[in-house]
Amino acid sequence: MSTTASLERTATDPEHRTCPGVAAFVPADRWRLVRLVLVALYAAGYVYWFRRNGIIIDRISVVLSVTILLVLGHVGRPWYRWRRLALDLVLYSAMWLAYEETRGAADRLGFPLQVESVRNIDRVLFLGTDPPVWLQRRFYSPDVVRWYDVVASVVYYTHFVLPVAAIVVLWLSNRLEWARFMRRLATVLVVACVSFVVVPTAPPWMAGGGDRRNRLDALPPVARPTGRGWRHLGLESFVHAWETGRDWANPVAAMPSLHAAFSLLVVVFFFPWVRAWWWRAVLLAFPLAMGVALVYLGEHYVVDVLAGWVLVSLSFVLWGWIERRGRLRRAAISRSALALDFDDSCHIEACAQTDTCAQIESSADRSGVAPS
Amino acid sequence: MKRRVFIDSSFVAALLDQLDGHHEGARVVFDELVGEYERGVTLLYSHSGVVAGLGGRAGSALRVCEIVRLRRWLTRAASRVERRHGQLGRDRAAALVVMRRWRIVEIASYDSFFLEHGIRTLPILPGEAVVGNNNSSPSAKRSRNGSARSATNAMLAP
Repeated sequence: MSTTASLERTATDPEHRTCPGVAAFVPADRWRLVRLVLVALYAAGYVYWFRRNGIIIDRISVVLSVTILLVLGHVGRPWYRWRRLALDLVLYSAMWLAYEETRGAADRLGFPLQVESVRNIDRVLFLGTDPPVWLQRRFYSPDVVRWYDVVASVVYYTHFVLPVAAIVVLWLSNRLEWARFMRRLATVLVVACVSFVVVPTAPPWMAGGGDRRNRLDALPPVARPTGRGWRHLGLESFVHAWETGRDWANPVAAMPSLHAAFSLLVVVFFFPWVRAWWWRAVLLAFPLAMGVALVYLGEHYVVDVLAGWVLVSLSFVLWGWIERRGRLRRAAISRSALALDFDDSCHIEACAQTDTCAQIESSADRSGVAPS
Repeated sequence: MKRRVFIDSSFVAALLDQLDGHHEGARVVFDELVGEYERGVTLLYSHSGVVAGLGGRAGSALRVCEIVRLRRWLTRAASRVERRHGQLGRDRAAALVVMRRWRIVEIASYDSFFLEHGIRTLPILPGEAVVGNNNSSPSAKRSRNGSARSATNAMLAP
């Protein structure tokens, strides 16, 4: 059996749980059960809150809820992990609060609101048709809630849970992967925030009538039935929480669509980990469903969705390139260290310069093995 | 999920010492692992005791590894494991603790102990076995019994 074959064989084994041989010597972390119970209690509390008060949607509450969950998930861990957690949480909070701040910045700096330019790009892409108007004319009925209204609502709201859940799970399970995920997410978020300030864009619901504060008539009337799928499921409080949050969110943060971006980001990130083809199909269908839902619900133009996806793609390409460069550089250092002509006497001489290495040699002497 | 391999001190010692009986085999395996690392398939781990114990060149050679620092929690955990299993030694104990905490299931090692206890051990090569008690060259014995383990034990000592 060749070396490559043996390495590939072990590489493809799906075994990533603790090796029984290791577990025979090292007992499981005694705090693990405590953490699991605490996280389970948190999950139960979250579901209760969800049923009673609706989804946690504003960024400050999201940061607080994530902080509580991460703290519970760190009970019994070493101190250095707590210090790292504190630093990561500060960065994480700064990221979301910066996003929140774009609303004020957009108002202060006064860049012109884009209404027709985005709509015109959509019309060029779809040969003169406005996709949100077209979809609502064919499928939307103000009086009847159909199955796809519910699906669209559910898919839309996953934006407020899925990326945050991915962040928390990665943080608690594998910080290296968490860092990879956060680099990509932060890049998308920073570029999007700049775009929200510089290119404030009216979404279709605003361009097609808007609400009492923002009245525009660039499109035929477009409804914003985002919450009615949840209402249909009996989660009125849930919709109420979202509508409250919506009132002080940035209404012209439409280009690019972060809903579309984050749904694709999560899928692309986790895609290599999924082996079963049906799960892969579900994963791939999710950002597509999100894109269709966003346009159907009048939340975004198609070009907003495409811009979000392009942004995610660029973020992955950029960080993939940077990370690959880092890996190649470290591998080159490693290989060059081993490729150097190595004289054992030089090794001993170099080692003798440090106390530790002196201990190595004296220990070797004591064991009766003569240096060759 | 990426493949994770722990690199232990006996493997690094064989890698660095041209006179070690397992030097060539270790280089072939390490080259494969580094190739996988370059492709982003594999993550390599070691602990800082290995680097500190084997000198600066080990640090360069292990630049591809995630180095787990020998903090107080790790030395304490290793001590506990060592107390419970007297035959282990601190180096092996620290390696096992890192493997458990980071859920690493493979170890690149020339220490037969791991293989004997059902831990998947590299290298698995034709003509290149993990060293047992009586099938190794004197230089291999030196790196296995002497320099590598005692070095990391020295680092782990409270």
